[in-house]
Amino acid sequence: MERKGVTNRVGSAVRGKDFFGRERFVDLVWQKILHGNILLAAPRRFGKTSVLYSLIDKPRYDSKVIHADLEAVTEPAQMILQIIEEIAKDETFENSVGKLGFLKTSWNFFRDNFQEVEFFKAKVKLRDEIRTDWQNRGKEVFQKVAEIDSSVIFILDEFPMMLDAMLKNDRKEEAKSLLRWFRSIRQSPELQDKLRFVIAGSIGIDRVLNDLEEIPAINDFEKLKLEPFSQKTANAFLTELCASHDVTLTEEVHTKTLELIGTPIPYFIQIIFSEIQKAYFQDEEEITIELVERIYKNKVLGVDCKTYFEYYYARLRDYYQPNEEKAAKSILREIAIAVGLSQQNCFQIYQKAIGKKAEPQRFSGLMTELENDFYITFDSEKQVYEFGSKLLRDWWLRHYGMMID
Amino acid sequence: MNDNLYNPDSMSKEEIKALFVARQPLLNEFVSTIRNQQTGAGTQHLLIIAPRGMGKTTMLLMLQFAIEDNADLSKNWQAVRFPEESYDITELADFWLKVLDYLDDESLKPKIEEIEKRFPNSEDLREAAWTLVKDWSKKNKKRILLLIDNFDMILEQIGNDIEQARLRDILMNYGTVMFIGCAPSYFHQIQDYQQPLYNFFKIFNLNDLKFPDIEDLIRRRAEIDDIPNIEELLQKNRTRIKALETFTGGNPRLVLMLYRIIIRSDMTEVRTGLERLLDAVTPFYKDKTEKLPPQQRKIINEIAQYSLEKNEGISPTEIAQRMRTTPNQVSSQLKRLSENGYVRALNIRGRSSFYVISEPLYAIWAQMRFGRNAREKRNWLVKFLKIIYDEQEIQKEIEKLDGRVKKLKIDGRESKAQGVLEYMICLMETHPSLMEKNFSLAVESYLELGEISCLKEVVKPNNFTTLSKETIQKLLEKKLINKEYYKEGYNEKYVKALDYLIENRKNKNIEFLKKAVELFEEITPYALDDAEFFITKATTYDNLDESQKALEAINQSIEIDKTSSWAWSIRGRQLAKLGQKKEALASINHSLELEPDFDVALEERIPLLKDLEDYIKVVEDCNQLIEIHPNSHFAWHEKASALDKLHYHTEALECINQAIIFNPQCFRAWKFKAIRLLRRAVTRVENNNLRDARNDVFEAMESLKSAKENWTEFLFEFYIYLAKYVDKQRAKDLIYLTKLSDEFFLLIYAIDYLETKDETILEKLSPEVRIVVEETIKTLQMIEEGKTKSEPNKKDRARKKSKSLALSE
Repeated sequence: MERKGVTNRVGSAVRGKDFFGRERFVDLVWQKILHGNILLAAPRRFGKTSVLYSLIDKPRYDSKVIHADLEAVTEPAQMILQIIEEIAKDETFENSVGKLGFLKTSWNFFRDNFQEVEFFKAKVKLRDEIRTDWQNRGKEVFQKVAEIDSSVIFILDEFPMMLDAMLKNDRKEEAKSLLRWFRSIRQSPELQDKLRFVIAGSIGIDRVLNDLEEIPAINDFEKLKLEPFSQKTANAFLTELCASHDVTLTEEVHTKTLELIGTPIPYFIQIIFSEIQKAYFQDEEEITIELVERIYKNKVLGVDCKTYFEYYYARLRDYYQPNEEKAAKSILREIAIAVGLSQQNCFQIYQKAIGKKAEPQRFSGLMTELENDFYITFDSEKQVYEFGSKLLRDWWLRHYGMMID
Repeated sequence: MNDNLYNPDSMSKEEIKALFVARQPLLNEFVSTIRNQQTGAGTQHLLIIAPRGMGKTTMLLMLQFAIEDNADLSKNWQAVRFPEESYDITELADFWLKVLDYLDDESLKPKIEEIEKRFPNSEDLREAAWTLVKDWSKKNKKRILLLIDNFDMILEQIGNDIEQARLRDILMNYGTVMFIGCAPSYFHQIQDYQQPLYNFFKIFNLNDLKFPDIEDLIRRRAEIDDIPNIEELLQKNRTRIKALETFTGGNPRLVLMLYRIIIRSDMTEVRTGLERLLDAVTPFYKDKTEKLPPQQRKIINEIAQYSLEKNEGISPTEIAQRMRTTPNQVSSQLKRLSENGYVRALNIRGRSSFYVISEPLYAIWAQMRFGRNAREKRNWLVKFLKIIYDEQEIQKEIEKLDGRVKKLKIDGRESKAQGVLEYMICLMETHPSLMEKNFSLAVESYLELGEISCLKEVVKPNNFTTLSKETIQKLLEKKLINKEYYKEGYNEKYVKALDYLIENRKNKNIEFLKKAVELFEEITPYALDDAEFFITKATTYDNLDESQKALEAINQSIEIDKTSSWAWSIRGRQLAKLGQKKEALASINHSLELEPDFDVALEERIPLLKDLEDYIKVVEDCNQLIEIHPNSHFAWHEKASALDKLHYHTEALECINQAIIFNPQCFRAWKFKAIRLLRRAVTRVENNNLRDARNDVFEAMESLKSAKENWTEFLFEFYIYLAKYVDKQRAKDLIYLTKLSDEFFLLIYAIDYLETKDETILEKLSPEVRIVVEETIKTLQMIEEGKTKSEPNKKDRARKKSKSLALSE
């Protein structure tokens, strides 16, 4: 019997009735898609893929949505093939894309109800053919897609990951070509108005583009940041979870749970709820404030989240030069201790770390990067920088509050 | 009776179901998750994490049965279960091929053959195999429930990030499969943020069984085994079963392994059964342990020993004391061990955590493996016997075994007899009264077997009262004991001496040490083959700085036991103190051959290598010591010193900074740092980089203050040096830059005079000041005019001394 209400899905994408709290953001995405391409930015576990699935499951404005997960793609021909495969699922494209010369023989496999293995054999052949001239083949596909009446939205999930994989597999030049080609597609006058692209990824695209020396490659994408829930939404989310899983929390416990999490990142609400649920049903423990605090300390700040935040610390070393790394760590440590720090104070710390070469411009750049990468946020009312998440701050304070860099 | 007590794969379905206790709510939750899966993308995948023996495989089997037995579920789902060992899966292609294989559908065979032939390329084969899986699912209108044991091992074998990304893609975007995996602990692929499967699964742990569940499990097992009067047996053995909860840590597999022993009270089988069990797990635990760095292995050992002795967890502070290291260091290692599932914190009391080994069987194995002697190695067995059997039962068993030994001896089966005799000793060790009562039996038997070496371990002075005259005579003839040995008082004197040593540790009073050695001398003739006694004696003499006597004592220890790295290290230390450096080094080298990571020996060796000016080796030793003790001030300091000698000045500075972090109270380190900085400042001044030189001077000044040195004297000599050997003007500029013109105005005057030869500079000085300035001028002039040194006055002598301190080691 299907569960009523929201099911607590951890790790997988949430769809349908389980998709909660992001409706406004989805509205925003649709608004923005009308005018341009979108880069969806958020750390891992924020719900990007769920948002993408919402676009796929409920298209608007009479548009077609084509989704390709590029996580395991390592070459341009594969990407184009994957896109073709997705396009072929929609019969609307039969008379356009389906009529392309190089697709004539294999198109039937996509459309007719052949056994998948036969389809796969055709795909392998097709991929080899696309490889010979992927730029032109790909362009032809997009041109044909644009012939239909509706606008078409391409969702390319894990796009940065694909580029990163190509970089790591000695395919840097190919990755650069792909980026330039992709840009030319987007800027082509005949395609501009009909095609839209949404790219998203679990790793930041900026670093990958930097490594590829192609920073301007996607400067036509509008960046939309997926934020944590609002307090109101978080409240409602937790209530829904309780209702659908037959868990009763008193008002005090409910409030305490959200207070412990702090910034309402849905993933952490799910984690803590999952543990409460286990304690209640499996261990038959009464759900008290003490239990919830214990779960927060041992589980949420324990194994589940430790590596999540360790990544934040470690990547400072990967992303920045040693002196800036030191500056960033010093600033973050001080913000963790002080809870909030003014820009001026942060600059003083920056100056101390960098020395006489400290430049206000570079300092601003660093602070912007830290904001973009979700370490900190700027509270314009209080005029201070704070940690982006209470959990991250708790963790930082616990592990690096006393470090001398 | 079924022998597959701990291998669910070999058990029948009915048995597995019958033995499924305590986990029903969890099973229900899993089944509910399966039922409520949405179609298409967004399937919820699960992971069960629990140590070996907690019931992961059983849970997977129960899930498989749940699908098979339920028409609703079996209509929509096909369960595919992977066995515990899947060593042949090294690529994702292998994985999907296995799935196809386990679907057990004849119609798939030709298709599998075809794709294997057609797609030799691994990537294509992977995709082709996956499409076959999708085909099968579509054709049979069923989704596939993958039940994967040891999933972490499979991912490790696959290794490739792209393949794991592809797996994630499939699990995320296709509803064809639902995945329920198992692993003994959290693993890298789900914990590392950068990994595709990071936090991808909903995770469940399996809790320890509590007493009611253990009782239930045993009841069910006994029912299957047709054991009569089971309730009566359970009642009778209630205490033992309760003890099982402690001993097994609520681990179902262990409970089942030991239940027969408990119920049948078959003590004879206990040892064999347990040892067989430990043999079976040795390859696995050996591999698990060998993956650890040395420090962590030692920590595992300490926890294993302690928890089995005291039946409770041990704090990081206690571990640190036992290991002669710092609590901080232990804590950081414990954190890692905890994350990797080796240990867990029992409870939080105030600020301390108390740690135990996560898997009770691993704890037993660790103790058996790492026990320092035979006695320690069988501690776990003694403890088990003590928990499970009462004194009377054990006494009966001892008498039975004694008879057996005699019979085996008569039959000429001496080695078997020895094995039984060893077990007898174990039983005797469970209770002091049993030892007292049966000691003579054991001694007699050993004497008859001629097993002198084993006897040495057993014969202790406090057992002697029970021996007959004839037995004592035999022991004397075999020179196992000294005539006086069994006199009363040996033990008391030893204990008293140890008490004096403890007092000395508390109160640092040398009189206690003297009293201790007096007692040691008295009991030395009785010490027989007690290598440890002689070590204690040697270290006490060492603390009294009586190196010759310490050396004699340690030589005696080594004569008894040549394999003690500790003893060889002490020997080296004494030889070094006696000036026999070469022999000292040889001794310490031998200690390190016996135990390459012996930190104390490394610490002893470093000064000797320094004397030999083998600085490269010093650096190597320091690096090794740092690996063991990352916070070792000594190692960092010595490394800094050696690197400096090797002219790696920048690295030396980095090292001394580290040393200071770990011991900010070490004045020598601060001074070393100051000197390095001043030397660097000299080079910078030579390169006309006064700004950076200034920073060096500031830092040096602070360092000298921290070193409680007279910084003005140091810096004065530094500036003199600059003026004399580098450039006077720059020296003067630097004085101004460092804002020290008030302190060193005399030098400024001297420099000004030398630059301008303007007599008025001197004329306007007061007579006392003028004298000093003129002396300074002479000093500076000496290098210019190539004159020999002027007759030093007191002040000059003092300054020269400071100079030599400032600019040399």
